[in-house]
Amino acid sequence: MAEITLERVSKQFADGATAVREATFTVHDGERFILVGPSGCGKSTLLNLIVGLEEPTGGEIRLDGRSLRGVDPKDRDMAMVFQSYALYPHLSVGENLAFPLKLAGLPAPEIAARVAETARLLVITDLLGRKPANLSGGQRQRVAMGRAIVRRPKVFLLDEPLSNLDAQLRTLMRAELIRLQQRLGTTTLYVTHDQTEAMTLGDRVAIMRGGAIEQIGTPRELYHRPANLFVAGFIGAPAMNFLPGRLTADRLVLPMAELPLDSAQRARIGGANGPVIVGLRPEQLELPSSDRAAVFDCTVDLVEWLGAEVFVHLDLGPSTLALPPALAQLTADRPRPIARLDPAAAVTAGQRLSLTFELSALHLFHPDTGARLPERA
Amino acid sequence: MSGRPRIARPPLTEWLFWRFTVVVVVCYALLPVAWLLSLSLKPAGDLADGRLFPRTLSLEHYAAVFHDPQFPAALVNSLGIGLIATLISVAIATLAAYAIVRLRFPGRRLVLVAALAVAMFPPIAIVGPLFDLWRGLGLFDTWAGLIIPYMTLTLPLAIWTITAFFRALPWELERAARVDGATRLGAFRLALLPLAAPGVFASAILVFIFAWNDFLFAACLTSTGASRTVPVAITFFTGSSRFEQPIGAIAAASVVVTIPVVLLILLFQRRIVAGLTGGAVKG
Repeated sequence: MAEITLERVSKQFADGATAVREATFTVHDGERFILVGPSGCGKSTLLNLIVGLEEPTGGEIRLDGRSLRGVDPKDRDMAMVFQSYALYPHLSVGENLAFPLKLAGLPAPEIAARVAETARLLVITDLLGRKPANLSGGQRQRVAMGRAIVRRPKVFLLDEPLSNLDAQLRTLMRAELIRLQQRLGTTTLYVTHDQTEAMTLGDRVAIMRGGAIEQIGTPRELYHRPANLFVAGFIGAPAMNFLPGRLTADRLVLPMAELPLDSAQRARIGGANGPVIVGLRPEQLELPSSDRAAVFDCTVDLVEWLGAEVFVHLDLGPSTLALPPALAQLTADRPRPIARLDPAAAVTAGQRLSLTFELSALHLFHPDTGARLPERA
Repeated sequence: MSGRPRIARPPLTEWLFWRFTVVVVVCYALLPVAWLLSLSLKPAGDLADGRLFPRTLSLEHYAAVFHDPQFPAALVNSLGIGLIATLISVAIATLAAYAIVRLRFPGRRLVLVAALAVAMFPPIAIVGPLFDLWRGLGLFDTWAGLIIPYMTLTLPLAIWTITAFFRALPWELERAARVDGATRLGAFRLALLPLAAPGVFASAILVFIFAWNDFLFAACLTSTGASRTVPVAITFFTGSSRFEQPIGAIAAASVVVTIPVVLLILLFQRRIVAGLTGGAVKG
């Protein structure tokens, strides 16, 4: 049993910078909980607070209902894997694995047995005599994992454990991590800046920005109902397209089309008449078919063919709609919307293209705050 | 991953230039030592013959040096005072460096600057007051009377060297050790010290050499064989008659005192040079 509860946890550094702002959430027993966000958002600091390497300046962290205030890291029974792996370079792999057990004062035969067992589990038995300097990146990663699980701690804390591996190895280790965690059933907190890792690894995901938690939910919830522009733009690749829009009593005006709304649809969308920000995922744009009429026409700006899919950058042409403030900075570095289409579609740059999407695929956000507009059932 | 980039062989002229420079520098530095060695091995009658290579070899000066009861006593003093001063200085410097690098406390930079200020102080200005002070405190002509100034004067250097070493070591190793169940001191001892060993040894050797070679303090703060160190003891050598210069004995004693320093450096050279941190973090 290990349940971690954070209640309004804050961390302010001596120089006045706030790294974590009132973080409140509970990680349930046996859960894989992911903290994700761009670099500098405070996710690593939050991990350090939980493991006790830093003390929070406000709020409380509890493990199974017991407050961890003032509890030394060595007494928290948590194991951590660092981004750099932090293997002890002067010790062999075997000695690295034995290190936490020796500190725990286990008898030598027990240590040897546990090291052997862990090495078998991670398939690093052949490496036990080597020094970390003579290991490849993937091997170091395994040893770091081994050093964490050899103690059978209550909680695993992983700080970007895969970010130093190349893309192929990362995909491999990702699956292996899930398998390992499911087998051990240990409560796991995982920090990453990579939304793919967050989506694939997490039972639940907390998205952070600027020290604050923007949204917590399952990967599906985050994908289908992002709470604000930031979450919507962060989750999914390629990122969600954002367009300026305007709601009126009976229609939604977009740069490339005007969608008529019947009264039921208008009521469900909610929101006041006026400017809105419209989000539309690239995979929701489709080529028109026999039962789906084209919604708008545009010009193809660029085609990225990836084999299994094709990314088509679209030029929607000039628009008279004003850019809402929350959107202006978002679209500054990515002005062109992208459609993710079937690669069978023969699309070339410069051609005209008709596309369609469903009204229900649209996400609407407040033009100033960027918060999702509340929908009514 | 690892593996040094292959360095292209420099052109012949460049290679010759560097080799030649090295030979010149080594000769320049070692010639006085060779002369000293030569003097120490010449019999008394040949001392003034002006040859670099002695006509006949004799160990009479070495025998004389060790027959003089002063000299072995001075060797013991030198070794004891030097080692104790080194031990204390390095121990304090290591802890100070850890605090400066890893702890957040007001005035961290001030400690470093103050240490530097101590190093800037001319020792000759301290010796007079120290003489008075030590006589009053009963430290005059004792081991402690020399250990304290040696330790104090070498601390800044040791702190600066070790601080630089600690800075270069990844903090994550100690954090990992803390999470793995070590106390703060345990993390320091198990995850930092083994890696900082080259730096600690390097400064230990510097401190020891300072204490070993010092003449000023040893000359002013000692008066008997109870604490007189070798550099001072050598000046007390006399010839066998008033018409004879004790040059041979001085040379032999000088060679003898050089040996421990050379041995020390040869012994620890590898530890100093070794880059122990390889593979600690991503490489």
